[in-house]
Amino acid sequence: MEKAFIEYLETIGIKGDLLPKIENIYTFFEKYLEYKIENIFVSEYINKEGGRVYENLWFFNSDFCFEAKQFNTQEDFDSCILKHNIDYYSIKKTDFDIISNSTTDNSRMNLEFHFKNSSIGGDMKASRENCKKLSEIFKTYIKINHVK
Amino acid sequence: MDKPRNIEEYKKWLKDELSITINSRTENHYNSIANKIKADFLSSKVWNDILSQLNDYNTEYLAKTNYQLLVTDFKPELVTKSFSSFFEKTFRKNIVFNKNFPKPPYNGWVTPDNWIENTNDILRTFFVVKYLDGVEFLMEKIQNCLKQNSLDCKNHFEARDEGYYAVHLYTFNDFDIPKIDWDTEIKSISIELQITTQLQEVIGKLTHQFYEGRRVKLDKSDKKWQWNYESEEFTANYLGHILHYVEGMIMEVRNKQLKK
Repeated sequence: MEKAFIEYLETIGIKGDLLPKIENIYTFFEKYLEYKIENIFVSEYINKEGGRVYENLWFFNSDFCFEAKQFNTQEDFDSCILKHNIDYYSIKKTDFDIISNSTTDNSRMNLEFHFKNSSIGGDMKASRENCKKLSEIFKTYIKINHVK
Repeated sequence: MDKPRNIEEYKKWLKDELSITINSRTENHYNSIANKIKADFLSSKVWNDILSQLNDYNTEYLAKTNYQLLVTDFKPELVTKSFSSFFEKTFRKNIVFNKNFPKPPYNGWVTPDNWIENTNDILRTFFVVKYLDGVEFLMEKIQNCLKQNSLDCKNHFEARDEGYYAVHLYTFNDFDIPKIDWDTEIKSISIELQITTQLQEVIGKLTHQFYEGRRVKLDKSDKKWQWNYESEEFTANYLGHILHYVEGMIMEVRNKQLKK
């Protein structure tokens, strides 16, 4: 897995057993399914004790997105065409200055999107500095594919 | 709108009548909650107390009866309810069993705002004992363990027409679960602990599919399965009843031997 991906995972506190698990999922998409992987995102939220709870793992390239649902306990993978295939998105955020890309401990962001002619879509959560990554994912892969 | 007859009609009804859209986000949110409940319960003191005391329960039962309580190397697992099964349960509550339809059921509509706390088996586990009296023995032990952890519980002695026999224990725990956006909230959620015998476990797996199929049927005017001797459920369900009877007989023989 790319060094940049590992650095990203470390910034959101992923270490120990979870890293090799993510490496395995990456290998599944990259080596077994033979997709080029360009980017990574982990959907997560903060619990009442202030700890991060990781939900779903996402990989992207310019044409497809890949999701490993509840990746820390399950092996449930899917993929969908991304290219020109977004017909709706919604962004909710709090305490995150998306223009200047600055976050605080209270920053939270939620991105929801739907694929065209489908009830399927994506739902991503981010907290603290992970909001910056979610903003990057939105601009690079979701916004660009929201076309007529 | 007419009463929905299946899950697809139910989804449309929810959208048209209650403005509730069911999509991949709904499922994702449910799975996230179910996963969190499972992770929290797995690491809870009460669950680890139950696991660590199982051996003691077995030893106590063995000393009392000369028989093993549990099957060899038994270790209970926690299982989360799938979204499709969970959603189907809301269909039964809102539509199939709702005698007030098109008005809400007695306790109100079950919607995403309340459906987590309105479902008592999002997380469940199964304990399998060898003999019929082991069911009640283990139930009392687990109840005591729950009480020692200051948790309330309710028990149901299940005996269904479909030949299903088991004890279901329900205990309520507070869980910090994710909201749909990013916050979390504390909700009191029920966990189901099923206790059944080894023979019932085997037959339960066979009969459950028929039970699941029948309970979402709106039209119950079909010939009753008890009269349809050629159907698969006739054999499987009656096997459940016969095995329960046989297990009672085994207990009688066992108790007679003990008295000698």
